[in-house]
This record gives sequence, C-alpha cells and structure tokens, in this order.
Amino acid sequence: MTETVTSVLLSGNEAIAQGAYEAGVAFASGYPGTPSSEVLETLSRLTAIPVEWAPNEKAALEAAVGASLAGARALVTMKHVGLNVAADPLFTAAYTGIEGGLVVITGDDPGMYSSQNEQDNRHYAFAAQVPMLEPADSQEALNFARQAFELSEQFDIPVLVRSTTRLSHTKCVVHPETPELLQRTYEPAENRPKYVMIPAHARERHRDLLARIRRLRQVSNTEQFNRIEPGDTRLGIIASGIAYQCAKEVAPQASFLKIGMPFPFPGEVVQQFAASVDRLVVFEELDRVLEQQVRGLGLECEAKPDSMLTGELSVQSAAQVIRDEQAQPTTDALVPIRPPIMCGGCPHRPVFYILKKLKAYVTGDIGCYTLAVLPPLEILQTCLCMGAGVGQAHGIAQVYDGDRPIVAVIGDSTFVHSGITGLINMVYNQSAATVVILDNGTTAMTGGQYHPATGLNLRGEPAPQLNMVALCQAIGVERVRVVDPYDLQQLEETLREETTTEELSVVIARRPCVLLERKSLGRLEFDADACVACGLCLDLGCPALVQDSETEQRQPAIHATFCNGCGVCAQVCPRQALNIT
Amino acid sequence: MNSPESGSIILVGVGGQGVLTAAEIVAQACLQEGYDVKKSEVHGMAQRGGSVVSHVRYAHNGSVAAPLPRPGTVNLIVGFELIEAVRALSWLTPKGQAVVNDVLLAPPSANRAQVPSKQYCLAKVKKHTQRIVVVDGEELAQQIGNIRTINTAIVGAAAALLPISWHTWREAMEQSVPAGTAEINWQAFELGYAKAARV
Ligand SMILES: Cc1ncc(C[n+]2csc(CCOP(=O)(O)OP(=O)(O)O)c2C)c(N)n1
Repeated sequence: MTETVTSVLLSGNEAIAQGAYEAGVAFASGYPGTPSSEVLETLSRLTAIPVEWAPNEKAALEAAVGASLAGARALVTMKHVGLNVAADPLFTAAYTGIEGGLVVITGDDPGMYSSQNEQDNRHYAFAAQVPMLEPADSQEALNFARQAFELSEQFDIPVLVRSTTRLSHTKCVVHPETPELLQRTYEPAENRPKYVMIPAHARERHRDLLARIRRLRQVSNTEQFNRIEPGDTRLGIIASGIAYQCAKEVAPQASFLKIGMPFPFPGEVVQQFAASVDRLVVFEELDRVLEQQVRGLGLECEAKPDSMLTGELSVQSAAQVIRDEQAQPTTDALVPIRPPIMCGGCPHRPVFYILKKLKAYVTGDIGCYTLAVLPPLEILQTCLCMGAGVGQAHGIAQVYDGDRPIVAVIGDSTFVHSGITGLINMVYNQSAATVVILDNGTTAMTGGQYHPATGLNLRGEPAPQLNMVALCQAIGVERVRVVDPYDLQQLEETLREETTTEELSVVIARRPCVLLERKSLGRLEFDADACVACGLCLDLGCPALVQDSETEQRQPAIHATFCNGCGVCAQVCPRQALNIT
Repeated sequence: MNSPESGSIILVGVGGQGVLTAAEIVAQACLQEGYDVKKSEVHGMAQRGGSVVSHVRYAHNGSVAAPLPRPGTVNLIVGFELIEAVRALSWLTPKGQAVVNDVLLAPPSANRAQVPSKQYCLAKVKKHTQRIVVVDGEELAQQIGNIRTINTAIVGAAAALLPISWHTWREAMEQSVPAGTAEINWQAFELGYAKAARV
C-alpha cells in the first residue's frame, strides 16, 4: 500500500490484517477456522514478521502473550469456538495485562455456515473483563484492529475484536494507509508481581483489572467507539455490527446509537440516547447482550422475538422488529438442495466404506470427514468439538460390552490440535478402542492450511515435520499402523485386525487431499455389459459416480470432471465393470 | 434501491465454476465506475461441490448499508448453473433480468426423481424475469480454446445488462484474473457480451 486515499475492496478479514499491519504488529499466530482464517493468510503477504499457524488456539494465544511480554504488538486469530480453547490464558491475561499491545480476533458464525454452534462471543468480553470492539464494515474493521493495539497498550489489557462471518466475508471499499514504524527493541519484561499469578499477586491484579475496566468505561462512554447518529427522535435504535447495517437500511432517518464497543458497556451514552428518543429499539444478532445491559439500566426497550436468537439477522428481520412488518413466508424450495460432499477421490471415503462394512460404531470429529454423516455413508455417530471423538470412543469402550468395534476417526490437523491428549488418556487408562487418523496432509475443511505434521509453515516454507507414528509410539501406543486408503484390501485387513484386537491401536490412513495436487491418477472406464447393477460402487457416494438416469437400475454413470482416477470404485466392483486405464 | 443509481446482483453456481472470481470482476468494475459497493459471499464449502452464492450491491448516492439485499429486490441473477438459478429466483424483483449458463448439474446427493429438467428450470427463470439471456458458456469458452474462461464469458453477457462502461470492465478484468490470463479472459468476455447484446 502506497499513499493514503486509495480505494480498494477488502473483505473484513483482509481489512483486519491491514489494520494490524498499519499498527506495526510484530508477531501473529492463530489456528484456522471459518470465518477467521484469511486474516493471517493476508497478513503474511503484507509483511515479513513471524506469522504462524499454531497447533491450536491456546498455543497461539500463549505465544502471542509471550511476544507481548517482550514488548511486541501481537495478534491472535481464531473462530468463535477457538476462544473456548484459548479461554484459559485469556481470562488470566486480563489480570496480568500486557507489555506490547495484544489483540485477539474472534470470528463468530451466526447462521453456522461452517460451525458446530453459534455461540455469541460477546459474552467472553463480559466474563473475562476484557474490552471488545465490534466493527460493522471493512473500513471499521481496519480502524478497530489498528486502534485495538493502542487501546491495549494504553489500558494494559488484551483487547478482543469480534467479527462475524458476514463481516469477515464481505468486501467493502476501504482506504488503507501506510503502516506505523514502531522503533522498539524487544526485551522480555521482568515484573513478577504482574506476571506470576500466585494468589497473592492475582488478588492485587484482579483489583487492578477492575480499576482498568472503570477507566475503559470512560472511553466506552465517548464517541470514539459508541457513536450517536442524531436523527428523527421519534425512533432510536441501538445496534451493532451487521445488524446495524440492516437497521440503517430499514430506518435511515431514525436516531442511532451505533455500538462499536459492547464491553465495557457504555451506560451513560445509552441513558443519554434513551432520554432523547420516544421509542427505543435494540437490534442485535444472536444473544440479547446489549438488550440485557439496557434493561439493567432500568430502561424500557423493544427488541427482537425469540425466533431471532438463532441465525443471521437481515434487512427483513430489521423491518419486522423496527417497522412491525409481517415476516415474509419463505418460498418452498423448488429444486433439490446441494449440500457439500466429499470430493471425488477423497481419501477419507474408503475408510468410512470399510468401517461401515465392519459395522463399527464411529465417533467423529470436525473436518471434511464429518460429511460421512450424510447419505449414502451415514456412518459417523458423533461430532461435538475438535478432539472429542477420541475421548468419546474411550468413554464408550470403557462401559460398552457388546461386539461392535468402537472407532474414533480424526483428521491430521485435528489430531495435532487436540487429539493427542485424548490418546494419552486412552493409553494411560488402557482403552481397547481404535483411533483412525485420517492423514490427508492438510487442514482441508478450512481451505487447506499447513499444520505441524505437514512439514511446511504458514508461508509454505519447509518446517520440521511432526512424525505421528513416532509420537503415538512415544506416548505408549503399541499398535500403530500406516495404510494407504486407496488400497482397499490392505485397508480392510488392517482395520479388521486392529478393531478386533483387545488393545488400543492407532491406524494412520495416509494419502494427500485431492485438492492439494489435483492430479489425475488414471482414467475410469465403465463396461456396461459387465455391470450387474449391484450398486456397490454407488454406495461409496462418490460424485464421480451417479446412478445412470437412463435406467431404474443401480447402474453407474461416470462424471469424469469429478474423477481423479483413485480406483477405489474399481476395487469395490465385483465384476470388473469399472476399470482404471 | 432499484433506480439506475443503484442496484443489486446475485451470482450463483456450484463450487468450482468460478463464481467467486466472476463476482470479484463485477465488484471491481462497480468500484472503478465510482459506485459504493459491497460484495458478500458464502464460500465455506465452495470447494466441495456445494452451492456458491455471491451478492454484489452498488449505489451512487449514499452508500450501501447491508451486505445482503431484501428478497424480491435484486435486479439481475447471473446463474452459472440452472438449478442454482432457480433457487435464487426469490431474490429477484418482478422486473428483474437473468443471465444463465445453459448447464444443469444434478446434485450428487439428490435422487433422480427430484432433479428437474433443463426445460423446467429455463421456464421457471423465464416466468420470473422480464428478460433472460441464455448463454452456452462452454461453447463460448471452446471458441476461445480455453475451458477455464466459461465464467468470464458469462460475466461478459451480464455486462451487457449493467450500467458500467466498456473501459471499466477491461480494467476490472485485468485486476481480478490471474496474471497472464487477462487477454484470453477478455476475449471470452467479448464473446459473452456480443451474445447478450444480440438477444
Ligand atoms: C476449536 C476449533 N478450532 C477450529 C475449528 C475449525 N475447524 C474445523 S475442522 C478443522 C480442521 C480440519 O482439518 P483436519 O482435521 O485435518 O481434517 P480435514 O478437513 O483435512 O479432513 C478446523 C480448523 C473448529 N471447529 N474448532
């Protein structure tokens, strides 16, 4: 970026990266997750500072706390549920405070476009007592990300910046500026009463935190982040984020209190605003965070119905709440839905095909492989949070007496993120379940990020590669086997053996994600005369094989564009009607 | 929101069809033409064959507030696939227009009885629009000799229906497609444009 006042289109995530860059950020870490992943990817292209994928969000935040301790401005990014993982260091980092500005980006996902829940992370600001900024478009995302570092240093506290999927993934016109040049030398701070949280120190720091929040409340009560936009005083709307934009569209003449800093809550501004309008409406996405604060001030207000506690808010929902318009009936879907599916040639597919054949009870985890819950595989029984499948399999195996094999499946990125501790638990408590690590060499679900077991760092440069076999052996797993999931016979033999032994075992199914290399391994040909329409190949659920629309029989037709020639269907076919040439 | 001073476009298709690049070209063109613009997309699962949707809203006077328009207010559907074009119809104003690629991709998860025919989809889109332009993107791209230009050919057809100058499109194209591919993409764009201008 050269001079000021260039206009560019940036997504919320790109703008956050630009804001951090302008603030002179010197260290950044995070773990991928929609909608936050592009922040670090963008930042790594803007600057040469260390920008890192950490194995998980807790490790990322702790590293950033370290960089801050040495005086550097540090950025951490994660999706909303990532903050659950990083919550432990966050809560106490609020006590200790910081040296270099410390900013944590949390990307919430109202509507769950790509998440297992839609928790509202504004609660974290209130619970951890850390200030939160909440932008409503890309320019604000840039400004707030930059100002968050200043706020952090001014008030000796980590600052949360909350985005949402819509904000992160909407491009708006932005005016980037040249970055600040911070002349700093980095030296780790020695201040034990501040940074060693033994109870005696922590009691003092907690009191100090409360005092810092009191001072921050004064900022919150200025126009800097919580702005009154005077308008028609018959209607006053309190709103934030994308909800603010939707309300603005429905009632452009109204008076607005635009909340950009929900915590510390700007009670005085709200009182003043409420007194200036006849009718007060609070319009916010997800939980009733602002509304409860407003009511806590003893003010009356209108707000959304309970049906709007879930999902994204829209211009229509704003019209319903603000103008009392009827909800428009949603038109029936005229056409079949198109859910995401495992790609043609996905190396996860054969593993599930065999586990189904073995009648295994499969506890799942989060990643592309969660799609095995859908037809025709329908084999995944659980998906709770990252790493949970391993723990669940252990718990089930400890109480279940039946014959079904209990199998946890977990992706390579997820295993490194939070599967290892669960596996140590299984070793220690002598589990007899099986853990299958689906090692496709990438974090496919979130767009293909590198992780510690890929041998490459965030910038794609060579990095030490975590050896998962050696790791499993080192923590005490005696049976560790590696198979190629494209070799169906070997895969079946291995899984059959390992699921029937009375001991814990780990099977690593290793084959790169088809999106990594996109190369064809051969051409699939179909011999209709040899086909007996048994439909076994269709049970794989591969998009390259669809039921032939010409016939009622379960005969396949080949969709060559989706086929990478993996040959798994050819191995499934009992009549050699499918062949790779 | 439907004066010539402002408008709203929805681009829909299936993961892998280049919908997001197309949306990027359209949004860049709006920006360079001097509009305020917001481009929103859902792309979490784009690579896995799911539906891909991108909204582009632009306005001269005053800025665009919400990233998403109200259903029933969109001026133009750019459909890269017919089932997805039908799915997007509820966004369209009664006076809306559509540019559709003449291709139907059955969702692999749907059973055959659920999958509508091309004729059904085209009739639905016709019924809901004042003007429909049907392009065979694949045929146009084959004329160019590069199958990866289907999406820019379709953008070209859409361009014939949008208040943006020729020169601006050219610039936007250069900014949005991979380095070295601007020329071939521009050829595809021109073919698409000519096709729509004739309709
Ligand atoms: C705590 C947390 N962080 C991040 C995510 C987002 N996320 C979902 S699955 C996943 C990893 C997927 O990679 P992997 O386990 O290797 O499976 P793959 O998608 O490659 O099959 C990520 C980062 C999440 N759901 N929860």
